[in-house]
Amino acid sequence: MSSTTTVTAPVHLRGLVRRYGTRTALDGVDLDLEPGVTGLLGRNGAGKTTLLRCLNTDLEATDGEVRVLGRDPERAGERTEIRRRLGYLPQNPEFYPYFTAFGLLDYMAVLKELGGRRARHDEVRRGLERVGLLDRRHSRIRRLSGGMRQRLGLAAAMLGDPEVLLLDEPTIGLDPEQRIRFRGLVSELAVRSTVVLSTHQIEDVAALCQRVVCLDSGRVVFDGTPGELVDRSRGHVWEHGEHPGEGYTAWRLADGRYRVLTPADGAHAASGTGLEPVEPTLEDAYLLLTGVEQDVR
Amino acid sequence: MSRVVGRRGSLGAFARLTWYNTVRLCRNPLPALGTAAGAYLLLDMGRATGMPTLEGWYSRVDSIATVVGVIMFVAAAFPAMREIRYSTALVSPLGRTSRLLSLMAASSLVSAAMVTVLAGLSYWWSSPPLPGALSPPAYPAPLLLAAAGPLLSITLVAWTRSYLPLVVVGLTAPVYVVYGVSLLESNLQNAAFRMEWAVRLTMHPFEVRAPSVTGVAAHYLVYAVLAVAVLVFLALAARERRALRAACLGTVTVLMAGAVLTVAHGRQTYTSLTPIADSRVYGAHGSPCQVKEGITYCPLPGFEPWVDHWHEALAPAVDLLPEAAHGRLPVVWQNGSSYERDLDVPEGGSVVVHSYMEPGGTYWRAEFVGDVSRSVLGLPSPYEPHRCRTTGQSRMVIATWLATAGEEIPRHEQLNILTMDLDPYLPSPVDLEVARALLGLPEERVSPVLEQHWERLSAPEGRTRELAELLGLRLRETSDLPATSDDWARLYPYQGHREVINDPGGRRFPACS
Repeated sequence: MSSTTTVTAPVHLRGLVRRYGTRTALDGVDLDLEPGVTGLLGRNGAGKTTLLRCLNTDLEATDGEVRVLGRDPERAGERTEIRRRLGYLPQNPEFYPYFTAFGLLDYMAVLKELGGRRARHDEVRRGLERVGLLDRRHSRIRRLSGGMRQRLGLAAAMLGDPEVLLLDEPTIGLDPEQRIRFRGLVSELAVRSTVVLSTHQIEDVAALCQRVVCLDSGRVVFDGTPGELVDRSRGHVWEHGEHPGEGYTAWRLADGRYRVLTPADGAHAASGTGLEPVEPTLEDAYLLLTGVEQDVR
Repeated sequence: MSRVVGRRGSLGAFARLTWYNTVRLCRNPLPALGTAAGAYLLLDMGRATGMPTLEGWYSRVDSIATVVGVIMFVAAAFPAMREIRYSTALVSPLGRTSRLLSLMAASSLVSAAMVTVLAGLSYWWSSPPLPGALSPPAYPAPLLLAAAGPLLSITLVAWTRSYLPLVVVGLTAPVYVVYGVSLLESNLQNAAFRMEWAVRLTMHPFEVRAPSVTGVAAHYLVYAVLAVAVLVFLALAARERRALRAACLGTVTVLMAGAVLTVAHGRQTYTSLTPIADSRVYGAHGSPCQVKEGITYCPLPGFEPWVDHWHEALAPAVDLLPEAAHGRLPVVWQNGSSYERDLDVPEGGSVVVHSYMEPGGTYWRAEFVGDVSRSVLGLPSPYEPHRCRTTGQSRMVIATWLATAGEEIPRHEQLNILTMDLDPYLPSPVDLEVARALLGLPEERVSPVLEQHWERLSAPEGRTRELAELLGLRLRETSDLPATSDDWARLYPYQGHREVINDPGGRRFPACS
């Protein structure tokens, strides 16, 4: 691993490999992530959470180069510095149930070394206000709903406006109103920070991300803008009045028609079948990229 | 090889988190309630048992530390669960190990603060300065004992990821209370006793507990440090990282071996039968003995102020003795309350006072003066295994008179003292009558008689009847045989139960020579 590389991107990965025993979770990932929101897409087990844990310094790379904020997480001093400037929301976070909402954020703020008591408490109140929980600050966590806990987790991850924010399935349990609020928060933070959003919620990616990275079996299979991803699926998405039969991926829509994906040589596969071409969505593009190809073959 | 990254943080962050944990633990109502309850109990104990010595105070601090340890055992379970079960996915400059260490440090700090406050209150209520000595290694030991409670709790939570400490307390406390009032089957009682024994042995594995003896205190301190370190490493070993776990468990093994060796060495060096010289007691310097008006006193190091009290108690009785008796005055020496003191004193010519006996009380004085008087008059101790009787001997009556002389004591207490002192020697009704009559005679009348007839009256051959005649007493009693219960009831109607006269074998004791 080279230690003389000049790195300017807040997140810089070269040939990142991470293995668990004989299983390879990440297989040669190259990425440079700049400030803004990057959506991380992929099926379950594709390596998204492993990638986030390598970035948050929880896991060490088996091979390759990792630099976060220009620092090497393998070096103890640099690792600590990364952690000071990084926010992380794990998938299904579990919080100590006897904490109050304020108590939890205060504890996290202590861990993040956020100034003296007054400054820390101001930051905690700001965090609670951001996620609409200021009026519930004295409530014990065990008394909060799942959605409220998720918002609390978000507030904890965003404490101190971290320069790198890693979010693993952050919108699970949020109602539409909260989801929109969340998008606003992340967009605001992403002006200065590098946000990596791992999710299965395609609409969040469509609404938030300037960039999309798709992982499949630990490899990057797409890295570009959402528009570029959608463009790749143009000509492979159709609609039809009835199920086109075997060999097609199709699902029933609300109006009774079927949406049909034809991954390889779609125009040819669709000729003479009565399929009508339609404008693809990001979800169509994602499905074509990750899951459907194998299914159809 | 891939591995989970270990985490380290700066000392400043560690200190801030430790302070945060400390404040949160202090806000927990349990330690505050525990401190208040402990203070109340101490005040109550202070009223019930006056033990104004450093060793007595230290023993109380030891009890305080145990109670604090139990309270913190419960209180620490909650933040331990927070760290062990609910903070695993947390990413912070301080890693999991540092956060756990910080909690251990905070709970130890709170325990130490509680013990220090309660120990300070206890000291203050004991009217310092306290006599006696404490070796410097003894001071930190109760703090470590108290810290072991929360550390054990954290360790249990770390390994079980559950509120096991609360379950332990929730189950054992009621069992302990119930078995104490004997409501359970004997098997469960035995199990509870065995458990209690094991806990006590773990807390105090040494045979001798003498915090004034530097070697004993040092052994205990080393043991306590090792035990606490075992708990710390055991808690750290409950991690998923194999390398860390192996290293911690290896360290635990080494530390435990060290603890076992320390205990073995301590138990071998200091047994309850091995006398301990003053040179091993902290603060001992020069000769331990001092002479006051012809009486030699040998206090334990730190108990020198008590010599004045002893002398104050003894001097009036000694003044009543004729000059001829002064040469037979015993050496008064103090023995340890928790160990056998190694001191060269003349065999048969010494009287022991104990460090736990506070000078000043009427009965303490009577026993002390009685011991010295009996030694001067050659009477055997009433507690010696092979007892003899002094029925009709004047020296026995003189000894009891000396024990009550020299101080204004209420009449009924004087009679109680006479009863206690005479009872073991099987006195005759004449002895009982003369002893009682002597209480009413002025010292100026008795002393000249003793001066003139000391040789005869202090010898085993000296008779009580002779003493009565010399004092001009007219006796109503005639029997020279050991007094019966009826005799006692007639002559000392308001005194308590007497054991020896009801013992049929007692009347067959040989006469003391």
